[in-house]
Amino acid sequence: MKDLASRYLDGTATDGEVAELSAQLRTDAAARDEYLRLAAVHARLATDAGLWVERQPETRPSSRALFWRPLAAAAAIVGLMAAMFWMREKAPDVPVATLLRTEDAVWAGEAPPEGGRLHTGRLRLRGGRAMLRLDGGAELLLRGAVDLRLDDGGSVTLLAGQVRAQVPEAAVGFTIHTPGGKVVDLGTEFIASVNRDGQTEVSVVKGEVEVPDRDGVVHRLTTGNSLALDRKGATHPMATRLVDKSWQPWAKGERDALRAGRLLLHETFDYPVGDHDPSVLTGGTGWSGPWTIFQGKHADQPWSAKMHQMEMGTFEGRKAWISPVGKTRCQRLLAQPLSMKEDAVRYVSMTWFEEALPPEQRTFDFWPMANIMLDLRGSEGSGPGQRVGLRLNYLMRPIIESGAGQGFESRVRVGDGRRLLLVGKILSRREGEDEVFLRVFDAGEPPGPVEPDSWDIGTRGLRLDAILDRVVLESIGPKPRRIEEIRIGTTWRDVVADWNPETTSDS
Amino acid sequence: MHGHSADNQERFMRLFMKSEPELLRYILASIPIVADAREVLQETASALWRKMDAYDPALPFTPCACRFASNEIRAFLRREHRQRRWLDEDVAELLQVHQEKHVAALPAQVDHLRECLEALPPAQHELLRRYYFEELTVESIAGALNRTTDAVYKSMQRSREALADCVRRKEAASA
Repeated sequence: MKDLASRYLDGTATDGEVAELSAQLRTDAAARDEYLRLAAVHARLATDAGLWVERQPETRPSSRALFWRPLAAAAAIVGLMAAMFWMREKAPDVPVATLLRTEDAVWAGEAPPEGGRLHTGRLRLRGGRAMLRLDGGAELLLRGAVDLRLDDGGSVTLLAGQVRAQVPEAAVGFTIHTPGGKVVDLGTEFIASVNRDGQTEVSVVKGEVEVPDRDGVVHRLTTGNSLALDRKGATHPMATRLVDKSWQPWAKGERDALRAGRLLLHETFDYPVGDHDPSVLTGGTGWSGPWTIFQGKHADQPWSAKMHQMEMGTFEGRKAWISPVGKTRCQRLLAQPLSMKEDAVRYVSMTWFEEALPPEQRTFDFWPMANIMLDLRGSEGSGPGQRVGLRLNYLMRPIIESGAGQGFESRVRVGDGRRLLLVGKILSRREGEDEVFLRVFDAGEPPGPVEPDSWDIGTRGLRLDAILDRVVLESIGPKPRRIEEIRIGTTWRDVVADWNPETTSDS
Repeated sequence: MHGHSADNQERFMRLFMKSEPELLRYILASIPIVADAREVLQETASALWRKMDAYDPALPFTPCACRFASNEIRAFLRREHRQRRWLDEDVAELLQVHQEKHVAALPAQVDHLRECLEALPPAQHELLRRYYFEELTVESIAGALNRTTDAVYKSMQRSREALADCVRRKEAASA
């Protein structure tokens, strides 16, 4: 009987076994008692998240009231979700935010990838930290156990746990709904928390927020002010809380170190100085075989004289492939092809030094096809549309190309005479539109710890079906380029970590 | 929608939130698959909301909500029994009668369960944690632990039986 009961609770019982269990439970009170004891354990384990966090000792006594078993509250609020989902006309599941970064994050259910899009609906963090950006611009940092619902690009419902909101001017009006009311942002940074009793606490780190109470009084809180709001919407004064350091991670100036073994593909052109037959250039990780020089069928520009060799050099302590004056194109196969047919997030980056050119030489007349391009292509014969091309054209405008005549050109112009970092983000989807974004950074505006809130250019209506199995590098222009590094990874930080725009002397 | 005011909505949500864990556990006894139980919970919320005008605030909310849940369980079992074999409706009702009588015993039970859970061998505790807390599938747990799904199911069953026995012993000791 215990076996039957267990198998039923796990959903593994066969039809015959369920019928047998039904028959036993119908006639035998002792069996019912036995079954319900097991079912009660099952139900409690499944619904009382508080059972799983008790083992962790409380480290910060001052915050005890705030963090008092927030997971229990998360469990208690499941039904609120159910009710609210129903009560608001059921909205279609649409993407409204991007997950920017996580640290030791444990999610309920499937873990969303960094850089991935988050849809309306529930987001439950069990532990660790996660940062997301709503499409309206507000950035939320989640810490510990947080039960959140994404309502739209400008509002969320906090059911349990603690979030820190950072709201740029463009996103003023961002609202956090809580069981007792709501917090409306007026351009600010604030912390909101909901404890297991459904009590909301708001602390303004910087700026101003509004909290309407149940009597229609609107409380304005400014920097350093805090307020508690109970489940009934009544407000209670609260001592100001100090904001601890761990609430300010991934600050703008912060630089990540490259994490070993994280990149899908890496090339640092760490070869002996001099001209090489490409067949000996087999360094880096994630590649299959050496570089090869691409032999174009119809050259639209004079191909470089050095058509059969690749020159490696060292400048200011950095290794680089020196692409020659004129036009060169070389390619290398990936060990693990990237499928555009699956739901995935990939980032691509390339670092090079772009020599300064007098403005009159950055014209179509002078060198019309001048560009640098990092191209991910489908296998031979997979058709011209099967590629993701990231490049700068002769005017130094970032462009995304996907072949088949699809090109997306930015209005931004990138400066020269400096080291540049091109970063592409490729969001592939099993169903629906694929998206590619491109941004170029330099010393004046280096990449931050999370992906930027705006890109130089992004695609629309792109649908790729390719298995991308090679990198094609093209350089055309009246001056050589020093191409230093190529990376492909699954997170933003992996492809920008350790990026140093400064020129350093040999050491 | 139904002419309910915002106040009414809030009042309903507060009541419902308070009863929800109880309701979900009530449903789980007959419909033990959590995703299915949540679906029934949602149906229950809708049904309650539709009848909110008739609710007398002087009466306790949870028992009333349990009656609505009971209807939704029956509807679910009727609707779904072709997809997958569930307990018969009359058996589910017998279980509910028993559950309604024993709701009061809960707080002590929870403490007992917590103690019993902590006393489990770490490997078993970890396995339950992955399944119930992280909501991972048995397949992915088995993959991560390099065990067969069958072994994972067996281990969970043994752990739950040990927990049920342990809770029973503690109840007897404190009675």
